[in-house]
Amino acid sequence: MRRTLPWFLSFLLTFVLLSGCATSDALRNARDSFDRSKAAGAEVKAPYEYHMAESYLNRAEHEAGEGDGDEARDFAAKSGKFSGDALEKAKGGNR
Amino acid sequence: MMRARNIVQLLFALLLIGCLAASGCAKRVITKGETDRLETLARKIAQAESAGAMECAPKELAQAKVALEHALHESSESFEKANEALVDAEKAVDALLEKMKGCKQSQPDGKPAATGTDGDTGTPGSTSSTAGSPTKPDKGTTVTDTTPSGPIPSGAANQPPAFRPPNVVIPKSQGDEGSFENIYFDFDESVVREDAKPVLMTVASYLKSNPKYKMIVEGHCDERGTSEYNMALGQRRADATRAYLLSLGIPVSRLTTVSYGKERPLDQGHDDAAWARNRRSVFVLKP
Repeated sequence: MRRTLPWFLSFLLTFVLLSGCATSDALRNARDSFDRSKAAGAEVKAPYEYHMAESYLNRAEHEAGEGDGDEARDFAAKSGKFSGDALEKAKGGNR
Repeated sequence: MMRARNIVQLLFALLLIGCLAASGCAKRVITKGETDRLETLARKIAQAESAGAMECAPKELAQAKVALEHALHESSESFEKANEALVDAEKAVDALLEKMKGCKQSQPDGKPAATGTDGDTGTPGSTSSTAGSPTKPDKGTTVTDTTPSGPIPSGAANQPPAFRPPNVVIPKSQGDEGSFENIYFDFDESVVREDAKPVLMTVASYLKSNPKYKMIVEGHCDERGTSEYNMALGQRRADATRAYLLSLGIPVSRLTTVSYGKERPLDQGHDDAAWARNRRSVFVLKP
């Protein structure tokens, strides 16, 4: 009982740090996917998917900046999905 | 003295946990004004999309769609950012419509262009893929069925069968528990897949023709992960499904969402096929 608060604060800090790491990883993965689609010329070959990926990524980064990790990860996942579609189309449909 | 201090510390910790949980879980009711604004935005985006925005204003269309989704999310959360998000969405839609003024001259027929993006194949409930923009469902893979088709699977055995609307095209092989065919999601994803869009268009078409009905959109997940995580993921799936129906012109006031997380599996199995069947949105009609 004597150490309830320190233990709780340690747990809370660990949880916050792990959540932050998960968000950072999600954003980095989404950014990498987007960069790959961009490099493949998706902006011209698959403009809708490319811009959906870009818009979701921008929104994800914005939400992460405001501390909403859940929504940031959700938008980052959606960005990654559209980046994958854009890359696929840019490469002519081959996975 | 020491004991009292420990109790105070414990109470403080519990209070902190309570505040965190409340801030993360609280939902608020969307106001009538917000509902009207969201509906207007969704209608404008749907009109722009059907007028060819995917081809001639893809950037603005994407920004408007994402901004609307964000506004919808914020409106149903207990954050004070709902109005700010709505204003952002309205600006994005204005920019889309401004861009579309130039588009209409180059596309006088106003027909949407196909994108040819394929969804996943070989997964439950999938129909043949269609263009990314709303088009008619592929009737080649469906038959008209006026009664619930097949037995309700074991995982939904305790649920009463949902009302199946007459004269609605429902795939013959489905044993889905809702009023319509379910739609399915990829693992840990809440993006509406291409193969789900014909189903959503069928749902939207029915709701437009039958304004007396409302719809509950249920979000479900497979058994992997914690209950809390899956509850949030199910909610995101239900929200994404609702957002797509909104973009097809269904008023937000007729759509409610609920997440069951992993609590109501359609398939009790523990393999990839069962998990794929359980990652779904279910549509339940209510008078």
